[in-house]
Amino acid sequence: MSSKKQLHIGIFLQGVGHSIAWRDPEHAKFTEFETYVRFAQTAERGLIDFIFFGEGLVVREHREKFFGPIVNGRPDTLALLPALAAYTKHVGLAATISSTYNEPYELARKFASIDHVSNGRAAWNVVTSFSNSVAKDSGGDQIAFNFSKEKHLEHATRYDRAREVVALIKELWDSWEDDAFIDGEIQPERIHPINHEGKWFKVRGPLDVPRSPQGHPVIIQAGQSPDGRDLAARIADVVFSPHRNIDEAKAYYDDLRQRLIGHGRSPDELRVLPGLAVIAAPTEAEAKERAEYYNQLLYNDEIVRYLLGEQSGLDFSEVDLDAPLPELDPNHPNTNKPLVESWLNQARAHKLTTRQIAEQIRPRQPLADTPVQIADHFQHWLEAGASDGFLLTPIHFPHDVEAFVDLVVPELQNRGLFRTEYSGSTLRENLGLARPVSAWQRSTVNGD
Amino acid sequence: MSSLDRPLILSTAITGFGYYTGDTHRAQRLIELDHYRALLRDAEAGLLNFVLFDDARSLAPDRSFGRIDVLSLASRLAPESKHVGLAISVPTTYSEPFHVSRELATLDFVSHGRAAWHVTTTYSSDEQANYGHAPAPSEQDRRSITSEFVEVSRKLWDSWEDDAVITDAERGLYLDPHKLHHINHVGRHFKVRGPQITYRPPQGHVVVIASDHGDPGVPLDVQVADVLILRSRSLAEAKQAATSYRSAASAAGREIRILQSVIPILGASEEAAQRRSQELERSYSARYSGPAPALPLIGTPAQVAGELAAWQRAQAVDGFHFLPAILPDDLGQIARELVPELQRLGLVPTAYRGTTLRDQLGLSRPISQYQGAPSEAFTAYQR
Repeated sequence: MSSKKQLHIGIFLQGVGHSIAWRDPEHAKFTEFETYVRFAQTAERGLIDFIFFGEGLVVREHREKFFGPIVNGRPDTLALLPALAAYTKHVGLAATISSTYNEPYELARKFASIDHVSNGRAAWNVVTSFSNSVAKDSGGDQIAFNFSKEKHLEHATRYDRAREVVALIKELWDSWEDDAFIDGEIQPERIHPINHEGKWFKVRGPLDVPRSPQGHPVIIQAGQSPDGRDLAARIADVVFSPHRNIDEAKAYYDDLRQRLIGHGRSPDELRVLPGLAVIAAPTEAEAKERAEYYNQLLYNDEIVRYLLGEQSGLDFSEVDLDAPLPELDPNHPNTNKPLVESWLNQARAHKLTTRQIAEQIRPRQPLADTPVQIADHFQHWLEAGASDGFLLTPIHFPHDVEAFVDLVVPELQNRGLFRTEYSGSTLRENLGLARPVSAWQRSTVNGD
Repeated sequence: MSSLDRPLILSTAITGFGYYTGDTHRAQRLIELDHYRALLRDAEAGLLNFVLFDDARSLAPDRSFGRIDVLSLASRLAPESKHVGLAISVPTTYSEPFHVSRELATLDFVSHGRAAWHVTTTYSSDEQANYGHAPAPSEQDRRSITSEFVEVSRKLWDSWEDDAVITDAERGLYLDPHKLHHINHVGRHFKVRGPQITYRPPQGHVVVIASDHGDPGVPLDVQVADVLILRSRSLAEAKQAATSYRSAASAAGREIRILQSVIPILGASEEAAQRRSQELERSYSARYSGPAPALPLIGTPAQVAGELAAWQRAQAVDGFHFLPAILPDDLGQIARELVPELQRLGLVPTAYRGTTLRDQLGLSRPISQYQGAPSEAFTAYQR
């Protein structure tokens, strides 16, 4: 076997917020369970590391009205993933779940349980729930309103809470020793309370679910802000990043490596996967034609304003798209500050209109090309140390996923850049990540 | 009237090692899928209408076993079963209606309409210590929280009308914005704006079950539950209770199904069954104090079926919730020995009828309470 570094690939079935491809008659229906089964099985056919689902705790609205043109609604991921585990054997199963609106004990037992029933394939993408202040006139906040609360937590507070949530959950996952059963019989002295008393939580433990096959389900984070990067470097096994430029991606990865060392971790304990929409076709012309078809399917002013507002947290409903970008307030509560600042800088430097700014937040500009060109791109990023692979964000399911699996995966395999079979028995093993050692790990085998 | 116009409803509890003392030396089995897989096979072989997965939020008090979260378990096994309803115990005390109602809606989605929710609360000091809230709500508060929790959940299930997703490419509409609704719930315990972020469940509302199994925080209230599970000590007591629940349900315009819990203790002869019962009692009292739970029915399969037939003739209840004495053994015995006797008596069908659990229970599919209503103004929430 080649010792060459290999790619790790996840696939994100976006669903909610999807503004384009649902209009194509061939697009799978998000309202049918069979769509999710087909997605999981197609990914597994392509030996993909994991499939991934998002979460947003509100139905997306536009100026307090439900917005018809985009996809809304998705199954609950924690309830969906175990069912998909029944249809697959190897592919990892990743859920996005908020650390802000859940009890740690609940999340610890749910992820450990998914890990058990999938034989070690669970992953948790930790988010703190970004929220638009859609209802800012009332002084409240849309997500909080679904949870008997008046206000969403501020950015820094959410990250502070998230740090404690994840640390506490890892303690709960470790509260059972790995060898808590001997010949099937439980050993109560090998199950330990955690007696956690922190700033946010007081939890005695132990968990009522035994330590799971992966020890800890894989932790994913997508931190961009300094708080987010710090959290990623503390807790994450996998990081998603938004970079499309290889130099920025490499700088980001280097920054994370430094932060990892700062937290006493080894730089190779992390897999960094930038998001990328890929449209593969046998010829470049066919791929470009398909990309153009997606663009034509829907991209009107209504969608542009919606997407700008949705990504920034600011209100664009009255903005003239063809005038210069207005002076936005990056410090407005619950605004995506780094994004807004970057828009302002670009608009000032290059005198850009709002529509020109919007070009870059079009649902990810896809990499539409031949399998060889796409493989070149993947190889270049991997070898430059800019990423360990990619999180694919297909625009169209099943087309884009099937085309990737059938055309690109064989090309990557021919180059020795991607597995030809699942070699590990858990997601961690397939990602090349070690199983976390529990604090209770005995120095000798069999407890003697 | 042929009794098969209204066949008996049959269900079973799946809880630890069973209601007596099972083989605690094999606790690891309780986290293995094969154990539950075999139980579901038995349940479907016996044409049971639903299995009820028990759960809790702390380690078993005697530390004799751990468990798997029942949502994961039921979802994982849904594709491996076809007919049997999947009821999961989910507490209302330290969780959010927005999460719980969605998880149940999706269990219904992946099982094509077979999900049920056994409403429970979290109140033992062991459980409470895992949620850092002190003290646990009083019994009365838990009942009030539970009632409102279910009310909010039903609103959230209704917040998407059935045909909200229209994928109308010509008009550019993925969904019909008029078929989503803010629920704007403002109550004593919860304030929830909605709508839910998933579709209406296939059954409209997931079947809601309330039982009187030692959880005083759950009201046996016909407004809350679709199915009530009683733990009466006699036919007369059950009939009296059921009569009063039925009149409450009819006054409230609610459909209700009432089940009585029984522990069948079967033997090839009556003597064998009695001997087994005594052994079970001995091992139970060696381990726990107090009487064994619920109503034991001891005898040959034909004798026990005859007793259940007497309940049926008295029109006391709509069916029975089996509490297997020991799992997995007794569930297999119930499915293979007791159910055929009930079939011979014409009390239960010989094949599954209906596709969803509601169909099987003869419960109609609720229409969304918001159907046809304009989306309420957001300001209603702020009252």
